[in-house]
Amino acid sequence: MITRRTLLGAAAASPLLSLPSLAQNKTKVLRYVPSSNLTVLDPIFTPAAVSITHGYCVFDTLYGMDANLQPVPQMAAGHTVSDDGLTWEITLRDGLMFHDGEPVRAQDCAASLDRWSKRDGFGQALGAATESFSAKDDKTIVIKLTRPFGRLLHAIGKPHSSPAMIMPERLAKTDISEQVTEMVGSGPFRFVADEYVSGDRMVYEKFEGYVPRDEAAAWTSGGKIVNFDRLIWQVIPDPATSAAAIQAGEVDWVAGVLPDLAPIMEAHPDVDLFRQDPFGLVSVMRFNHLQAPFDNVEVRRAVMKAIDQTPYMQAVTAAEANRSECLASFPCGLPGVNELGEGLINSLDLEGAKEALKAAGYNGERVVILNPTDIASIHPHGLITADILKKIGMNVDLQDTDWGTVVQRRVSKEPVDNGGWSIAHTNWPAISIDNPATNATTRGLGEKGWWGWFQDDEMEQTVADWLSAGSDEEAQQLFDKAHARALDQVPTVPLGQTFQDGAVRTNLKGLLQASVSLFWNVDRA
Amino acid sequence: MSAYILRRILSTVPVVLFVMIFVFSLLYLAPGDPAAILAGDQATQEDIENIRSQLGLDRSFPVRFVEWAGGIFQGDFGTSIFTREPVTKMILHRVEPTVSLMVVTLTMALIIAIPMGVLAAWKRGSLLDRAIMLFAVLGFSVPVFVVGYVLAWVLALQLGWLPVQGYTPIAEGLWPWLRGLILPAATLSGVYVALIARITRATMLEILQQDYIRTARAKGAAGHTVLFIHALRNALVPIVTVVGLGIALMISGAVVIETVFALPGLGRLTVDSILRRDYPVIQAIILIFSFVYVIINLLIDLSYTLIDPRIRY
Repeated sequence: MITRRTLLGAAAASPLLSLPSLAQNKTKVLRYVPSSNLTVLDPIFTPAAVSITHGYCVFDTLYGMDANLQPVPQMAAGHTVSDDGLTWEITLRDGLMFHDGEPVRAQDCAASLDRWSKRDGFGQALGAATESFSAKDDKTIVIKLTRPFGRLLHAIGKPHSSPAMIMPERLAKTDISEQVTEMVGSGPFRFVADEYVSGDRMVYEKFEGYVPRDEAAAWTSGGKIVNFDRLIWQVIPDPATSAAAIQAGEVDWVAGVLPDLAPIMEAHPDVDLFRQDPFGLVSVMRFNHLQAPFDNVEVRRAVMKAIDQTPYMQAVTAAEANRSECLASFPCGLPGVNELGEGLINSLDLEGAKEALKAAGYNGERVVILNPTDIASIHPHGLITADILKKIGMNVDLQDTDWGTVVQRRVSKEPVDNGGWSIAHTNWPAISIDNPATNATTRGLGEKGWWGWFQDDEMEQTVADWLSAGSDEEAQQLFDKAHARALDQVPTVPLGQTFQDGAVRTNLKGLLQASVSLFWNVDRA
Repeated sequence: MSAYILRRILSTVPVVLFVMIFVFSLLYLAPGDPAAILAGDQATQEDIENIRSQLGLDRSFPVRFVEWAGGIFQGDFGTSIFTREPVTKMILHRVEPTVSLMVVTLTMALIIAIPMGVLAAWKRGSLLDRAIMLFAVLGFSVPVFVVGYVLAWVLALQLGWLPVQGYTPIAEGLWPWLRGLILPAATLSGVYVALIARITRATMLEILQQDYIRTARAKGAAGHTVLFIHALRNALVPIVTVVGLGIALMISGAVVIETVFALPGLGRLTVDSILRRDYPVIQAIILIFSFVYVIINLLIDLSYTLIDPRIRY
């Protein structure tokens, strides 16, 4: 017989009428809005910042970067180097465990380093100097080199694009042209695959088996203590909506706030602006070195003479606090970077540029500028460059298209009459181009290197010398030498550094600065 | 009737086949390379070539088409180039928010627009008629994202009545589901309210001049009976046509609304997939939309027979 009690019970159990349970309310949740959607889960396969952010939740690294951007042990307990500098042994610390319950072994680390060294720029430099990555036993990783590589810890401890994250050996054996999609790491968060909907939300849970280090957290090093049970990434594609969501208290943290909306965030009593990355982004103008007119270094120098960084930066962000002139081919403010570009960069000498162009023998060759209209932080650069080049007498063809087309076309080595290009712009996270080996914009690898294909054997020799430098003094000298060479050969024109703030609810404390959002150490006041 | 329905369903086969070939060819010829997008800014030509080969993007057009079409006929839409998830799974995740948005939008639009149109026709030339038509003009003219931001600012940020963004599945409760959809549906329904109200008014004005309406009034039928029983049923054919076409048009409106209100629907998936050249996802969505469009047209035609018994197939 159906009684009143049965009916009430059924109603309470109905999902259409149910209320969130009390147990759910006890779960401590951090809600975060990433700058873009997470489509690629494998942080080694892609250097996308959002994938690296996700990577730091799920995976850990042998070495991390401290507040001075120096490598310090993270999964490692320490290391030894042979007298000839050719054999490095890294010992794992105790208590490391993957999310599937398996202990982290040296074999996992060796396989992970091997895969990473096939994709990442710094990793490839290490790979080129490496005979093998292997395991002496479950606790000891052995890196056998063919030549000294003084910056080895900087390489495997680099914090961005792409960090050498450690995966189980079975996943690390995946070909580098293929993505790893099973997310098993040894990081402080466990990825909840069942709740992942690309374009909507990503869910992470605190990994109870994670053993943090004892040191204080800084950048990607130290104790990664997680204070939330769940971390939910909510993808909100519209910047105005994400700004409204944090004001309404629907989310706790928005990774990137549009400069136009920053004053509104600043004025809100429950929201603070937070500068995640103190080094920001470096904008660059990249030449195609394979085709005229920019196969001629004199033409490249002439263009650099005409450039003023200010309008490029102003077009991206109006606030002076969010931009910084940088007279260098490397990001200012980072270790080892001296502003050597005084008088070369930012001179805004249009007349001098015109004369230099004539002297270089510029003959009216068409300059095709690839310009993505759907990337707000790059689109103005094409417009400004086109205007400057016209002023100095160049034959400019500005081609507006979407980012997907730009990405496809800029790998074309054909002449401009056959679908090729002359100039394209992009932004680099400063931290990912912080030294002669990682700075793809100045490397001289030619057709094996970054699009634009700047070939310079002298630069490459200097990079190799820097990598194997025995002392910090020698390394600094070689760094400056590489820098001077870049300023002389103009593989790219630096267009200044810009900074984007994120927004956080005022009740969040313990946020760490780094090149990406880090979710340990954060707590609710 | 059943022969007609079968004929109509069979006639969708060549349409869908044509769409399949057309969409596949279009994407094949369009600029953009998912391998280059996937590889990222630091990738070398060699990296991109390896990824292209891994994904099978280096194979010829006929080989790729036959493989894709073969999969479709087995109910397999393939795998996303980017997320490596089955496309079917991705689409199923996104269907509910879009369908929910459409259902709530249409319900809102019909509840508001039909009485508005009928009233405007009934009070033709009055201040009320003019006010309703002014509202209809505004509904057409103001861009949906502007309406969206204004409504969000007032109802969500200032009054705190509704959430700013996000979608709650219906399985988590009827009210949370509906609460999250009120803002986006109200925003999207403006255009449809305007459209349906104007069509209803125009059709009703014509019908109210008919002899049988005069006869009904002469017999002493009440005003609302004349309006809603005698006149409105005969005005439904053009209204149903507009509603049907509106559903198809709503797909494009949903893209903007889903972006503004962060609804994880098919519209957003379409745009995201196009921007990153995720071919298998784009192809599947366009194919599904084409099929849905054909089915909607069929349902509209069939509904005429229910509304107007004089129509026979």
